[in-house]
Formats: sequence, C-alpha cells, structure tokens
Amino acid sequence: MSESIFVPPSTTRYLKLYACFIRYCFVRELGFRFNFIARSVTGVGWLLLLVFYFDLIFGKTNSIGDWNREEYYFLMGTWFVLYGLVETLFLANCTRFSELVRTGQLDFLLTKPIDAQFLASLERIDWAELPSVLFGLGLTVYATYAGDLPITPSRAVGFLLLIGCGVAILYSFMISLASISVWIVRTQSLHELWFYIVQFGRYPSEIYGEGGLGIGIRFVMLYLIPVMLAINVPARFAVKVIDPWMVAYMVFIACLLLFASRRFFYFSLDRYRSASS
Amino acid sequence: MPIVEVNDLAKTYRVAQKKKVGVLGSLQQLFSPEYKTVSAVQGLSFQIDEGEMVAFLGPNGAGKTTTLKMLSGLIYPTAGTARVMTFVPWERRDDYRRQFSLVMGQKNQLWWDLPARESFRLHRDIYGLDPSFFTKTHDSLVELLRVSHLIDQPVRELSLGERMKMELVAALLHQPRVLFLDEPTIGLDVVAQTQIRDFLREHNRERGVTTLLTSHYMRDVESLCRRAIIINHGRLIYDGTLDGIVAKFTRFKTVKLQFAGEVPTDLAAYAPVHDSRGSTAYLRLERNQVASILAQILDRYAVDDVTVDEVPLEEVIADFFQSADQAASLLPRTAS
Amino acid sequence: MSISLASQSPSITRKYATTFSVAISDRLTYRTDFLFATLMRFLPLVSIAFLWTAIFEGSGATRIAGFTQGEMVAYNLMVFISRAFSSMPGLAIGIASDIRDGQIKKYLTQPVDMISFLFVTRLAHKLVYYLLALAPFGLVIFLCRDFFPPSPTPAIWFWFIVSLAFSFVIGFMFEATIGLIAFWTLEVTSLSYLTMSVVYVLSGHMFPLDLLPPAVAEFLRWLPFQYLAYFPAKLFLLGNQMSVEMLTFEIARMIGWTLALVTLVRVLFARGLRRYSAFGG
Repeated sequence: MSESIFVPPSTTRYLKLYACFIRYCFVRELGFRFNFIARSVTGVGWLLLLVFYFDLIFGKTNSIGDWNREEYYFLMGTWFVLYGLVETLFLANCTRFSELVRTGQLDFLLTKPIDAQFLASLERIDWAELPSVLFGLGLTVYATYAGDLPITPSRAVGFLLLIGCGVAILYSFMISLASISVWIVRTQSLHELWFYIVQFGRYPSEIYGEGGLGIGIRFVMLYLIPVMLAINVPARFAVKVIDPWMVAYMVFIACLLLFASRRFFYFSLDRYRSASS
Repeated sequence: MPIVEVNDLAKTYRVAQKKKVGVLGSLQQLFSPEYKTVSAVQGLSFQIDEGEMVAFLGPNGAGKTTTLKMLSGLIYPTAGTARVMTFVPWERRDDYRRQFSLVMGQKNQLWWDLPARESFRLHRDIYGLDPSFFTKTHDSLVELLRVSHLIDQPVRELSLGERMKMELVAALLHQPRVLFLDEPTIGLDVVAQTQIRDFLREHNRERGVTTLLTSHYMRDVESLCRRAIIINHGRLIYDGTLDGIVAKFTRFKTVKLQFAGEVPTDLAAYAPVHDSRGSTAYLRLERNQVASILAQILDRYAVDDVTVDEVPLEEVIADFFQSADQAASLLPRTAS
Repeated sequence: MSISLASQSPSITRKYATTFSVAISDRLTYRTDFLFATLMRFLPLVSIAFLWTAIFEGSGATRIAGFTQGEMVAYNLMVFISRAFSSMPGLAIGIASDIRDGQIKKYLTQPVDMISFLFVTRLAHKLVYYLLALAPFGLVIFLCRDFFPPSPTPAIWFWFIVSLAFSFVIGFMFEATIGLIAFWTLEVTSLSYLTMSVVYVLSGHMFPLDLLPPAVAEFLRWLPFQYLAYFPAKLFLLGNQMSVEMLTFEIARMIGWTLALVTLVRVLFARGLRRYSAFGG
C-alpha cells in the first residue's frame, strides 16, 4: 500500500485534531443549549456563593492566616481559574476514561494510529466550565484593583506560567487515577476521594497552623500530593513574598509528575484486559 | 506468504472469584481477593492468506473475541506469536494500526450526539488521510451502503442497522488491508443483516480485504466465507472449507423418500424414520451406509423419488456445540 | 373507591413490606466500600475546623454570629447529620425520568400509590444507611467531641430527634415537588442542579444563617429550607438559649410547612396525572 495517502504525524496534525475536538464539543453543547446554560450558571453561581460566604466571614475578621480580604479573594480567584481549567480540559476525559475501560470501548481508542494519551485526555472539552475560569480570572483582576495588590507584568506572566504548572500537577494525578480503573473497575469512590483531597489545598497553607496534624497535612499537600502547592504558589508568587525555591520546586514537580503519569498511563494500558461487550 | 500468521497463541486470565454477597463478604474480597485462572485461548495456530474471508466460529466463551483482540493488539497474549502483515499486533505500531480495522457489533465508536459525517472527518484527521483519498473512499462507501441521506443526522437518531452501516464506513475509510469483524450483524433485523452481508461481499470483491469474521448467524457465514476456523475451549477443532465441516462433523445424511403410495409401515426395519407425512418419509442414515440401505429400500418398495441431502450447516454446528463436551469422544469414533 | 380500607390494607402493608426488604438487601449488597466512602465525606470538616480556627484568631472575638469557635465546627458536623436525614439524592431526577419515559404507567395500572411507594423505599434506604453509618458517624463525633458544648437536656434531645424526622419528610416532599414538575416541563435535571445549590445555602448547610444580616436571616427562617439542616443543628448546639415560646413557635412552623408540602405534592401529583392521562406520555 502506498504511504502517500497518509500525512505523516506531526505537531500540526495534533493541533489540528485538537481544534476539531474543540469545535465538535462546542457543537454538541449547542444541541443541549438549556442544559449548557444551566450548568454554566450553576457553576458560576456556586463560585459567587463562595465569594459571598467569605465576604460574610471578612465582615467578622480582618485576616485568615496572613491573607487579608483582597489577597484572599486573589487566592480564591487562582483556585477558580486552576480548577476551572482542569474541569474544562480534563475532568470529563478522565472520568470518561474509566467508563471506556468499564464498557470495553477503550478498544476503539487503542486501535487508532495516534497517541493514546492524547486521545484519552483531550477528546472532550467541557465548555460549560469555561465561565468559571473567566469568573476566577475576573476575581483576581478585581482583587488586584480593590486591594491595590503589588502585581507587576513579570509577576503576572509568572503567575500564568505557574497556573500552567498547577494544571499539569492536577492533571497528572487525575489521569493516573483514571488509569487505575484498568485494575479496579469501580473507581467512583477514588474519583470522589480525589475531589475531597483537592479541597484541602484551596485554603492558605498557613491556616493549618503549627500543631502536629496541621504540619502533617501541610507537608503531604505541599510535597507528596502537591495540590496545596499548585494553588498556593501561583497566588503567593503574584501578590505576596515567596521563597524562590518553592517556585523552582513547583516547576520541577510538575514536569516530574507529567512524565511519571505518562509512564503510568502506558503501564496500565499494557495491562488492559478489554471487557467483552 | 500468509498475511495473518498465528502460532501457539495462548491467553490466560486471572479472574476474581465470584462476588461475595453482603458488606462483610465484599470487605473480605477487598482485602484478600481470590483468583482463579481461566484459559481463554490455548495454543491456537492458523494462517490466513491475503484477500481471504474466513469465518471464525465457536460457541460463546470459546475464545473468538479474545483472539480477535490479541490480533488487534488490544491485549497481550500469555504465550505464542502472531504476525499480521509484518507487524506484531500488540506492539501497537502506528503503521500497523493504519492498516487494519476492528468492528464490534455491540460497541459504538461514533460520536453519539453528532452527525456521522463529523465522526468521519475526525477519522480522516486521526488517520491523517489525504483529503482527496478520503473523499473518494468516503463517497464510494456511503454510496455502496446507501446511507448518503443519513450522514447528516445525529448518530443517536439512527436505527441499529443504520448505525452499524455508519460504523462500517468509519472502519473502512482508511482502506484497511485486514478487517476483524466481531458479530457485525448481531441484533439487527433481517433486512439490515442482508444489506450488510451484501455490502461486505461486494466490498471484499472490489478491494480484496482480508477478513476474519465471527457471527452467530450461519447465513452470514455461508454467504461470505468459503473457509471456516472453529474453536472451542480456546483450541482449534477445525480449519478448512465450510463444506468440509459437514463431512467432518456429521455422520449422517438426510434422505427424503417419495413413495408411490402410503409410507410402508415396516420401513423402520431398515432405518429409523425421522419424520413421515402422507407418502413422504425422512430418514437419517449414517453416511457410509446410505448406499447399501437405500439400495435395499429401492429394491423392496415402489419409490417415486429420492433426495439425499447434507444436514444443514446451521444444524450441524448447533448440534455439534450442544454436545461440545462430548466432541472429544465423538471425533475419534468418526475417524475409526 | 368501593373497596373498604380494612380489606385493602393488609395486602398494601405486605406490598410495602416487600418493597422495604428488597430495598434493604439491595443496599447491603452494593455498599461495598461503605465505611471508606462515608468517612471520606467528613474530610472537608478537617479543613473547616482549621479555617474557623484561623478566622477566630484573625478576629480576636470569642463568639461569631453567636457561635464559639468549637460550636462553629460542631455546627458544620451537625448540619452534616441533619442532611443525612433530609437530603434525597436522585429522587427528583428519578421521578422526572419515570414521567418522561412512561414508567409512570406502571403506577397507574398497579394498585400502588407512587408517592407512598417512593416514600417507603426511601425510608428503607435511609434506615439501612443509618444502621451502617452509625459506626463512622460515631467515630467522627468522638474525634470532634471537644468542639461540642455540654450535652443538651432530655427535652432538647427529644425535639432534636423529632426535628430530624420532620427534616426527612420536608426534604422528601421538596424533592418530590421538583420531580413532579416534569409533568409540565422536560428540564427537571437542570432545575434540580440549580435547586441543589440554592438549598445548600438557604438550609444553612453552607454556614449558619446567623452569619447573615439579621433581617435576611429572619426572612430565611420563614422558609421551609432551614428545617433541612439549620434548625436541627442549632437546636442541638444552642437549644438551651432558646425560650419555650420560641421553640414551640419553631416546631409549629415546622409542622405547618410539612402539611403544606404534603398537600402541594398531592395536588401536583393529582393534576399531573390528569394532564398525563389527557395528553398521553
């Protein structure tokens, strides 16, 4: 068979494919417009509620840890952007992957002449979560002006890059969790456990204090399951003082986790057993 | 040189023991799961030449799907080798994956909420097909399957048969050299089954795609394949022409006798009467005795007409697998 | 109906009893990772405890919105317990899909009242859940014992348990109302998502209503949602600060809302069925 009918694989081909996914998912959402709007509104409404809650709290106190009201809003905005991006880009794919394993539909993915991790991680874009990202971004901008926070252009660029690292960290954990479904069919509670673990990281690391439990939580969430690192470091980098080693560590751990999770993903595919119908 | 070559292929699974009931049972299972080993495929060998359409038969759980999955590179074998074209399937090389296709009757790979046309385009980009090549193949497939009026409807609105046709288009867009079809007509109505069968025959005639087909419907097998591979309990029990199955697996032939008058009452003295209606009687005779017994009957009674038939393939296979476990003891007896 | 209730009731009882036992065994088989899953849901409480410690430190106050630091943490645990009674996962969506895909016909042809049937099934699920959840809940309460004020008086204990029972009924009727709206519109799934977050705030699940400006808090106490989480929790923790008149008033309002919601569900169901029979599924 002549090879000429095939365009060789390249970065542009992958980008073009991703553009297709983006478009298809959008078209699909348009087919369920009411559902799409309801989910977007609920998503943003939820975040508004959280802001409102902390607005009430800051009516009773001046600071949480060493974060004042506007700094805290900035941290919350960072969290919304970070988690919103993960939900828009990866969450649906990772839960879908478990489903593909359970039903055996993963078969089709594996017969395609394309990087399996690319297809498994990026095929679905959850557009309804995007407004949450924008809301979070808006909140950081609002906090910057309202609190007159000391953000410089270079800090802003660094902030966005670190958000990228944060997304990479969360994604690596999620794709690894999804990979586990090759061994354990019902991973619903694992996904749920992950959700609860992430919740530890969305608060300032300082609130965990100097007690034994607090130090333990902080250590685990900064270094072992670095969710707290992923959220706290970008925000601190943008609006407060931060140990440069923490920034370096975050970049390092993001690269390491991306690499390790890719290895683990392929390791799990080798052990895929393919459910029969 | 064969295009598919399988040697001593084997696959054993470790399966968790049956689920225990209740909270304590499942906790116990969580901490000390018990496994048993199941051999799905045991030492299977066969070869297929380019352009052949081969039926792959056997009862449920015989190992057909497991074999197809190994040949598609989805799962690794426990032992043995396989080569499709020049590739080892489970290395999952892109060059291999561009040249074969797997269609499973019970699974759907198209985007459910989008028109099939969009899925086809996505397929083009995933396989990196040249646009004009894609358009040509696409148009001819869509025309051959007569689905051009359906490709702009969301897949979820299509009937089961229509959806299967779309699956076939998607699977053939990159013009695979090797095609694995796992129950492509399962659950479809008779009309759709016939259409898909006709399409596969036509497509194979035009393109010479090497095809390995599993199906529960003997009509599929009879009309598409001349050769069959039969496995049971993961082992090969037959590899040869479809016609040869009858010769190998039945000791009997059906003999239809049309008498001049009523069916004689003492006919049973010569052979067991399978069925008799008015002046027609059906006998089942061991094939090596057909000639002698028939001679005796013709000698004694006035017979208007005689038809000797093979037992229908469908019945042969059904009978055979119903007594699948006796098969081992049955086969030597036939040979002796 | 011409059949007397006396002749009808034994078979009905048996019918519901069967439903009941089926539901129970169902629950026991499928809740494999139950202990793990239940304990996991308490994890956010750990962060909440630390968060409120930091908030109290930042404010320097001993009471915020009437709660001490310990009571605030205990409140978050108590709303958890209330919601274990009043939340009805999947009820509204279940009713809606029954209506949409015509499953509701089976209730029309069989002599079983759909609402009662669902109520009994739900009750069975909940009872088994409590039986199983006793251990993990007990463990968490034990770990959090230092956050709690001294145990309330027997009278408050009594009304606390009563309020939990009512929270179950109110929660059920509210969710059923949402589900029954499916007789008139198809978008119940989205609607139930929206109400979920509304209930989360208005029931006081997110934070004690006292944190809100007094006028707003007072208005929210007039709505039925406070009985889903806030009222039982507050009664248990700060019931000793509540006057007898206040308590009587609250209980009366709670019973009033219960009756109103039961009536609403009955009316909606009857009208919905009439509409359904008229237009078909």
